[in-house]
Amino acid sequence: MGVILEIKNLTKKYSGLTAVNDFSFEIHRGEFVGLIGPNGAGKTTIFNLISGLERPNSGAVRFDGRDITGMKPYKIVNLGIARTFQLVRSFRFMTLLDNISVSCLSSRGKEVAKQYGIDEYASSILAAVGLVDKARIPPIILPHGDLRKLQIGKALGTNPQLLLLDEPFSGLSHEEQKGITDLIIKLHDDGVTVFMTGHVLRELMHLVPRVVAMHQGKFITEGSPQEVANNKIVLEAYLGKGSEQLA
Amino acid sequence: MSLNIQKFREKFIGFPTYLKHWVFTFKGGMTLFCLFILFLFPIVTQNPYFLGIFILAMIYTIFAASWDFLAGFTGQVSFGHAIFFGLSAYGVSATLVFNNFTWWGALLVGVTIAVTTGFIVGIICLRLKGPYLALGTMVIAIMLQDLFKIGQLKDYLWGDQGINDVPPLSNSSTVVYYTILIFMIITIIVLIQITKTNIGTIFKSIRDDETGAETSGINTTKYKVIAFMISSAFAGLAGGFYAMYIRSVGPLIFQPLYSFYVLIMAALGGIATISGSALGAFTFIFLSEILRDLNELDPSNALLTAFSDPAFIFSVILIIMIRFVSQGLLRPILEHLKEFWDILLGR
Amino acid sequence: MNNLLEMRKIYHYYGKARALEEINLTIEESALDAVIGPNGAGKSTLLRVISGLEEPDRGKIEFLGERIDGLKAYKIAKKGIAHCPERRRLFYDMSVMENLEMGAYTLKNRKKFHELLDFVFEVFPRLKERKKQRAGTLSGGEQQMLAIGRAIMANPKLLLLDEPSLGLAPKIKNKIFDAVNKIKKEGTTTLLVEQDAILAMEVGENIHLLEEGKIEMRGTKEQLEKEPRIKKVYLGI
Repeated sequence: MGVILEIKNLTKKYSGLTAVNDFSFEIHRGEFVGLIGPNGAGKTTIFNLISGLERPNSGAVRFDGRDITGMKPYKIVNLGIARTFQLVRSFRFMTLLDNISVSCLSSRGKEVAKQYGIDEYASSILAAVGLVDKARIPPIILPHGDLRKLQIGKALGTNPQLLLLDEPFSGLSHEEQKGITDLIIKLHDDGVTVFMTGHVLRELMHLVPRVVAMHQGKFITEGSPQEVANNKIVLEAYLGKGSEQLA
Repeated sequence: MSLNIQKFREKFIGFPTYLKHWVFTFKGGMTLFCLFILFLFPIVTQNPYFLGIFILAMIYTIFAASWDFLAGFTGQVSFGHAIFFGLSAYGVSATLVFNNFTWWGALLVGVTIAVTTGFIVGIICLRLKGPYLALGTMVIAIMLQDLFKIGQLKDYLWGDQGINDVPPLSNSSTVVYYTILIFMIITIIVLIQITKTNIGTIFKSIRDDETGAETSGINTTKYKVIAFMISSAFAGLAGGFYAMYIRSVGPLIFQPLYSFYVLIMAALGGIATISGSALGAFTFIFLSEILRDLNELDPSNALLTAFSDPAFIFSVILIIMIRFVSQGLLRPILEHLKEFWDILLGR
Repeated sequence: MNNLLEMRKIYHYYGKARALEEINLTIEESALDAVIGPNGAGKSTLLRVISGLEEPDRGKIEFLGERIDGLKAYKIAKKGIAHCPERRRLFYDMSVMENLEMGAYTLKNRKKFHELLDFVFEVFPRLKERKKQRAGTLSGGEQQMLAIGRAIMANPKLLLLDEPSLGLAPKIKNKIFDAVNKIKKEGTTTLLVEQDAILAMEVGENIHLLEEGKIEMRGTKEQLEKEPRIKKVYLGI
């Protein structure tokens, strides 16, 4: 199982604040990994650095052996990394079908979609995320859970090898969360490497076999969810000094 | 391969049925009716004055449609569309007067100049968004005006006087009328069809969420520039016809007023409709003519003078529209007419 | 003991995302209640809904027997609720003294102003030293002290503190919480919202555990100390 994503000594600073501090770790092809850390730990920044929305001050990101540090976002997508966003975004005035079609029109997505016809392929993705009966509706009137599914669908349209999910559960009811969980499990089974982050740890910690923990931009530890949740520094980061007793 | 051929065949064979159904929709029926009137008008009258009003309206339709395409479908609002309009007008005038080109040869030159400029402006304005893009394009237009009027190169660029005695497209107003009518119809059809293709979907995605489009794998830079080029091509087409109609061109063609005229026309008819530009342009031009007569009633009355100036009236209308009716003034009126139509057809 | 604040069946949504679900909360006079929970649980939203910065989508809030849900924030402030927001939000270009004066905006009694000022300087001596200093040049801890001080200057009946320990070093955090204790001893009713559960449980009399917009459990420090559920709420396991 080769290494699909390698982060080496990644650092990102804003004036006065170090958001990501000398961060390194690896993900192997086919893995299912979670990234946790209290608010402001730097999780979304890591995602932005991987997906090209921000450039690091130093360090490197390698995807499938290839250096993608600082590459333009659309190029990174076309190499095989797709992501969703914490704050749901969509093409508000276009139908759900068109929302997915856009991803299918990326150069990477087109390679696959062309064989079936763009609209047909987009439809099948909508079906995979359970939204096909709403194909002609614009996202404006959809409930939050469906919007999160739509995001995942849009990511799938680019035929990704690695899927970055930024907080896929926040703001959802328990049923909605279960729906997303089932979807993610299915994707992983189909061979997509999944890297996800979240605050709603109740779902995440029972979903992923491996967790990476960060705090104040720095790598703390990694391991199984049990191990990480019992780690002294992690507990302190989340609950405050003196929280070992709660372990 | 075979899938594409199959799709093409479906579309081709299905077209007549599609057309038959379209005619009976409100939009289709209305459009056909208007086209009917437009085609018959020169038969009813050969008065150059009346034909001229229609010709001007059609030229502005092409101009406004080009703006609507860029703003309504790719989200790039330009306040300086006169750039392409004016440069093409200059190109057409120059090649007609000094190089003895045919009208369509000159038009080709004009459009080429406009497209090239569209490419350059698109690249310059890539990093500008929203109000900054609007200001940026407006500034470029003003700079061009200065360049042609008082800049260092003004002697090479015909300065204040500009180019005069530009030969018309044809000596017969009727020929001019029908030529421009055909080009107007082609423009609207082409632009609408583009929005329905895959590339149109990409344009709309850039409009709705540029970062989202980028993270869906779309090279937004490339498509933004392409959109600029398509829009500027048609703006250039309009500019070329304008030069041949007015029969002269000067630095004033770059003034912000013309850019705003197009904005108002497109907004009046409904942004992101393309066909709305026709409604907006015709309404604007007709109202201008009527208002002009208003002023002549009593030239000394200041209030009347103010109200007869289309710029004044339309600025007021635009402000009201932005505040209350962001979807275009004519749409609600048309909605009501549509209900009437439905009743007529017994639905 | 009277009920100073009563929240009944409060629901709140941000667009379509649920932020608060069936919140029932009662705060007694002179109490120090703390709401703990992981990020995104809705702690800040809870305070914003009380102080009027957000209008709850469903439910009732009563302050001293009067309904305040749906009122504009400045009206609620006038009734005696002071909200010290997340990340301080000081008037960074004004001096320490000016910030404190701004806090006393709704104060009608001049004598009370000096009383309160003395109290603030007693609780936060550092602020007295830096009276004329521009707020933007203060350290993080000093800014937090000023934010709390500013809220006190309004002579509130209910003080809402949103994550006062955010971004502060452990030593400074302790100083802040010592101050919170002093404020409580003076008799000001306080509702504190904190991510740092341990620190919150040190000062709080009644602790409420918030998870995904719902109150999972409540109790005193002794009751919650050994609760494995707290860890589960924060870390999922």
